[in-house]
Amino acid sequence: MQKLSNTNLITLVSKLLVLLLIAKVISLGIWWYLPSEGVELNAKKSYLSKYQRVSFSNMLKVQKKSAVQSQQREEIKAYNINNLVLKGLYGSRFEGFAIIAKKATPKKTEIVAVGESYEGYKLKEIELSGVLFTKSAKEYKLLLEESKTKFTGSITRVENEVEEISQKEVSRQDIQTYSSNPALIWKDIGIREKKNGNDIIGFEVTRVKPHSKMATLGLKKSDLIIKANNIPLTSINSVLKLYKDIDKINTLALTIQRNNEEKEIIYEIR
Amino acid sequence: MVKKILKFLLFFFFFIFALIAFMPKESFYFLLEKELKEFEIVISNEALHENLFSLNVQNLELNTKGIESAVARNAEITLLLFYNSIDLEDVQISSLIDAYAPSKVDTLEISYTILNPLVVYAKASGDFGEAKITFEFLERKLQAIVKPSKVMLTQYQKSMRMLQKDENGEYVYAKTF
Repeated sequence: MQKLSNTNLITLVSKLLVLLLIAKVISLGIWWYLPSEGVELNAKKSYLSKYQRVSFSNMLKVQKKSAVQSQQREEIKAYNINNLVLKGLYGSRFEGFAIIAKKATPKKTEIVAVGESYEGYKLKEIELSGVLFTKSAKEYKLLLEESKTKFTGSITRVENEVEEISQKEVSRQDIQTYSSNPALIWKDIGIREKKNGNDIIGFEVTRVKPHSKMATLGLKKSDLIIKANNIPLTSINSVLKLYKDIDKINTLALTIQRNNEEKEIIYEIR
Repeated sequence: MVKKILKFLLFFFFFIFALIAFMPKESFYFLLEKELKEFEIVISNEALHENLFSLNVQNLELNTKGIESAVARNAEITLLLFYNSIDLEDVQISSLIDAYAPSKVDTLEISYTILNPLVVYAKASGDFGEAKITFEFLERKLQAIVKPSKVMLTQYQKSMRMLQKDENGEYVYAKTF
């Protein structure tokens, strides 16, 4: 009887097919346990878009806007302190009263004594050029109407901190010297990230070399740099982006925390 | 006997290659991404293409600790169990290193073989010149032998000071972790 098929070949092919099947089953088993999607980076924040301010007054407007935004949650519920006008004040510190009106109805004034409340804001203290209100453990400073032209951005007081502003000039040549030789930066200043748990809350100045160019920037040891041009510095990347783009910036506003007080240092780069 | 051994080897290698071909390479890549995330390394915006024995990754962005560290146009990951390699092309390292070295790397080949399981080899070429890198796991030692380009020698003298010139005239960088 003549053989129609080659038994050896069929055996070989069968064995290979079995091996293929085993390999496929193993790979399916592995596939089952492996992750089905990868890791993507979170959405990036645009950094440069805010570096458009060219004048000091514009900076204050942005700062004021930012201050309003930071108090947004609280102020949505009640009257916005920016809509209040301080017409006059009498007394000193914890004794006296303030004459207050709403911007919408400036002629309709009310007298509020220290300890009394107006539109949810409790008058805490009378100062030389303004008054201090408290609300939900936060303090708000309202300046006399005529002095506002000087201090437009001063109605910002968050978590018992009055923001101070100072302005400095920085030479672009100095910046270029530092950016072309980063080792010089670390000779003159020490900065490290400060974390709250796993989150970076700012960058702490650990040392400033006396009489160096960095010392003229107004930064001191233990200062915590929390924002640059109103953008929170909550990652190393945000700082490095700032470092990369420093050549394109004309004005830089650093918000720092010093002795539990917020302070803003504005650098005009010339 | 020899015939049986040859037959066994044939089946064995056939099985191994079949296994590699069927392996879910994308899933392994995702696992690698998750492992790298533990070290705050994230690869993003990449396009993956599975080949029979390799995985092709295009336009990948490497972020280390939230810092955009490098962008590579193309990467070929080959995992053959006994020989594994990652070949990168057109790598643009972050301009943050511009002060230290040219940021353009044309090719970077990283390979690992079970014939020498304690060492990872790498070769790189770019605007900085050429480099042969070895990393020894046991001694945790990184060594790079660099053939610097003219640009590197003339414009990055500060970085060149970090390299030591050996007897053969090669520049060596060594670091132990």
